[in-house]
Amino acid sequence: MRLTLFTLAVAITFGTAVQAQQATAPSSRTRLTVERTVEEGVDLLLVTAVDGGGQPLEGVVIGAYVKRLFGELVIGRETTFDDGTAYIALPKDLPPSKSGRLSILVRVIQPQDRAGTQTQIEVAGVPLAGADEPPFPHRALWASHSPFLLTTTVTVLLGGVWLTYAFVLYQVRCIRKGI
Amino acid sequence: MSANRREFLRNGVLALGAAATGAGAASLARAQGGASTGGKVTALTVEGKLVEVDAPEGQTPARALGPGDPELRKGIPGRKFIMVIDLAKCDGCGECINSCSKMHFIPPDRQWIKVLRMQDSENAAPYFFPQPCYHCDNPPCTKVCPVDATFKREDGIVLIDNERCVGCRFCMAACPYQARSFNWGHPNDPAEALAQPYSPEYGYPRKTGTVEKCDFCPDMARQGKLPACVTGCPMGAIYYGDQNEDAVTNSLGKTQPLSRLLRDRAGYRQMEELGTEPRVYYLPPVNRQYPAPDETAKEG
Amino acid sequence: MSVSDNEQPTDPRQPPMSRVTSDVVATLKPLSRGEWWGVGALSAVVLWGAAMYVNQLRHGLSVTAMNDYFSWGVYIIDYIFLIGIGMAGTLMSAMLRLTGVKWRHPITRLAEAVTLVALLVAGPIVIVDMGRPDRFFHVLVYGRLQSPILWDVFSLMTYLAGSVLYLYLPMVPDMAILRDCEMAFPAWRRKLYKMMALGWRDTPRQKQRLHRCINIMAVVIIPVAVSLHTITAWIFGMTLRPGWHSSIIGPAFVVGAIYSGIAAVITVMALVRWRFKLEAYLTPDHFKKLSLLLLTMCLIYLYFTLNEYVGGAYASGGSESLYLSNMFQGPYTLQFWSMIMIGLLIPGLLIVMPWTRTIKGIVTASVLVNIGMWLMRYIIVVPTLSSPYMPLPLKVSLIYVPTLTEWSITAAAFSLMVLLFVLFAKLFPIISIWEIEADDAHAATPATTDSRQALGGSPCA
Repeated sequence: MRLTLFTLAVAITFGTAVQAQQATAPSSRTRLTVERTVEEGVDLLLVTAVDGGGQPLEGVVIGAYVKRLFGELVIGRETTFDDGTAYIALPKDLPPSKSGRLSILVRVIQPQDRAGTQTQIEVAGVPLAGADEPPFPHRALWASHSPFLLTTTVTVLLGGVWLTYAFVLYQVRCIRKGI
Repeated sequence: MSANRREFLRNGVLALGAAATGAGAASLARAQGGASTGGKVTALTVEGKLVEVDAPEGQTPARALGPGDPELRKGIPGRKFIMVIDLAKCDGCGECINSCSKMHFIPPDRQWIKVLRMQDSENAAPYFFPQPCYHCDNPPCTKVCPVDATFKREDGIVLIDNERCVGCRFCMAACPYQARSFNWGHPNDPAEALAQPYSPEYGYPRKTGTVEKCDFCPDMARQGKLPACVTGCPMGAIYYGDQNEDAVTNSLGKTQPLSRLLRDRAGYRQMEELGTEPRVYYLPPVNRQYPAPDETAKEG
Repeated sequence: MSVSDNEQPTDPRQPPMSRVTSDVVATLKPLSRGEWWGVGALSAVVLWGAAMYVNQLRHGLSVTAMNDYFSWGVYIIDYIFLIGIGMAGTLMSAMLRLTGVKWRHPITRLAEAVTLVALLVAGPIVIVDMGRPDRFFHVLVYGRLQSPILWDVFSLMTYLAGSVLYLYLPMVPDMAILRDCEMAFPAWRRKLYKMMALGWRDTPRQKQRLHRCINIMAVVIIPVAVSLHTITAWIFGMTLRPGWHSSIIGPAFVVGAIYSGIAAVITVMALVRWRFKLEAYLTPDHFKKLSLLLLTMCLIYLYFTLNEYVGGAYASGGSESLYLSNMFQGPYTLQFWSMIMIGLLIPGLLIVMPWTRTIKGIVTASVLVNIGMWLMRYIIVVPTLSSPYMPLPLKVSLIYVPTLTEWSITAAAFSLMVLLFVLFAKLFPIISIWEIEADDAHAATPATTDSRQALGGSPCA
């Protein structure tokens, strides 16, 4: 709980949300933390790998993935430096889910005994242009509702003809009544 | 440390490139992340508050919708489904047809996804060409339907309400891709299909005298699962995903960035000149990983 | 009991029946034994077709030869053919009326009646083609205005209503003649004529109103008639198929419709002339004049056909080429070239050559045109459907041979059309009595008011 509060504080500082998972680490005592940071104009994930005793782990291969509807899209792969950190660039062209969030998974790939340790971070993303727009363009003849011009044209034409019929029928009535 | 950072930044472009092609760990990721759907996650709102929300997949009902449901015609919120078929990988085995037919109880006289033998010119080698419904963004079939029985949803999928279809078959004449089939006689659905309530999202139980076609498996997508043809493909030739997420996934668990895949592999759509704007892209059959159709035939 | 027994008016108050009236009223006498046989045979065909349709309702459209490639077949061909016939009658009548052509009088009603019966059969044929006829009401409940089918439904209903009105209006004075003549009509018929006569007393005011109405309808019915066939063409033209997706298809359908419609009118005219002994009214001159109209349409249609196929043959590629080669030298060669020969060239020649421009020759040409134009519709529908853009999956072959059900229902549709026409011709005077009487009066005393002068008179207050 205390740890969670700490990461939340970090999250607010960096304008990101962090969720750490003690996860399903097969070899215990591997801990991953992720922050989102901007260095020299580049959006980065700062991943820190430490062991149970808090000692930085060097040479750990870290993979970052973004969760997609049917799978995980690879963002990048880096090896940690001697201070246990690795930087993975967050691509600019990653559209988020509908709520504007990107679920990013960071996972240890190597060494084998630490592989699978993972943590997830939720960051705000920039939606694709037009992603929210329903695919119903202005003149969509395939849409459920008829375009205004078409409705008007049909109504005017049909109305004109049937009104003429009505006038003729009125005349017929006049003939019958001998008016 | 800062030196390290700078060095990293210099290599940043390379790192991005690696994301596009170096998907080596993807299968592992898929294996690990398979159960990642559903549940709650913490997120930071625009106002700076932390809230617990449903995971994206949990936002939509996992059940297929019936014809009366108003959500049926809207589709799955925020999604724009898209398919990419890698012709270099298709060996024409027809497993996509089999798994599709099995899932949708399709009678033997029709196929929702076909595997055609394509040959662009006499001097060019033929290739296999899997063809589902293209779920066009400018669907000629939907334009001409007199009763709004076939409709285009906001998630890009074109479906048919078999309880509304009058069987005029105008849509079949209008579709330049022959994607539609008709229930000419009484359908002979198995008991398993008849036990289900009818839903346009999976298209059975079938109705006499109405049109049917590939539905892009929205019922599977609601459960976070890939369509039957995609999972059925042993070659991983068919990719499926959400265009809004710019990612497509195949049966091997490989998730690719859609826009980069189409750009790098020169993706194209069948008969672009018709202006139907299909939601199915093809990657040209270059450097094929299998013998061309006729060579297979010679061997057989 | 027969009408001929009552040719002399028994009521002294009635003016003596004119020659025209007695000639035309003679057509209303009951059917002869031979005619009953004919009606019986036609009814049997209709019943057989109805039985086949019931069978189709039971088993679905699988009893037809249609499949996922040939998704439309003989029913749609019949539909186009029938509304084609339905188009010309009224259109021709309206044009002749508006241009004040005098010789039109004996043929307008006949032509309009052909239109009406063709439309009455064309509508149901569409329902026969539907996979779910039980859901026809969906078209009205869920109708999408963007679908040309909806326009077609509206147009057909509008044209049908207009044709009924346009057929009925010039019948009013004739209904009065029938109402007033002392004939041995059954009570229900007399009541019907009385009702339909609208209390017609031949007053100047009534005449004025009637002429105005007929004139208005003649103007309005022309665009409506053109719209029906254009929209039917658009049902094909608004798809992306080779041979259909062409800008010429609308006008080509209209011209084709007028062409086949005139041929149908000439055929019916010959039958009426022969059965009803109306040689004095439907003269060789009428046939010659109509045959020249037919020839004109033949040439225009030939021109359109040339445009359609020659242009395509030069600038084509892909499925468009397949489509054309299917017709010129492929599986549809026989139908295509027979259509060209018996639908266009032979009838054209029969009319062009003066020694075959006799009633016999003209009627032969007309019958050939009717057969040829049915084939033409077959050529419009079927070869396009057998030229898909996508290659065929293995084990699929593109053959469409209509089944017995389709032929039976087609035969029933045409028989029903003839029966409806006979019903009309036995119930109402098939040629306009009052208009011909006016002609006779006009010929006798040129200065008297004839229908055309009344037409130009000042409108009623």
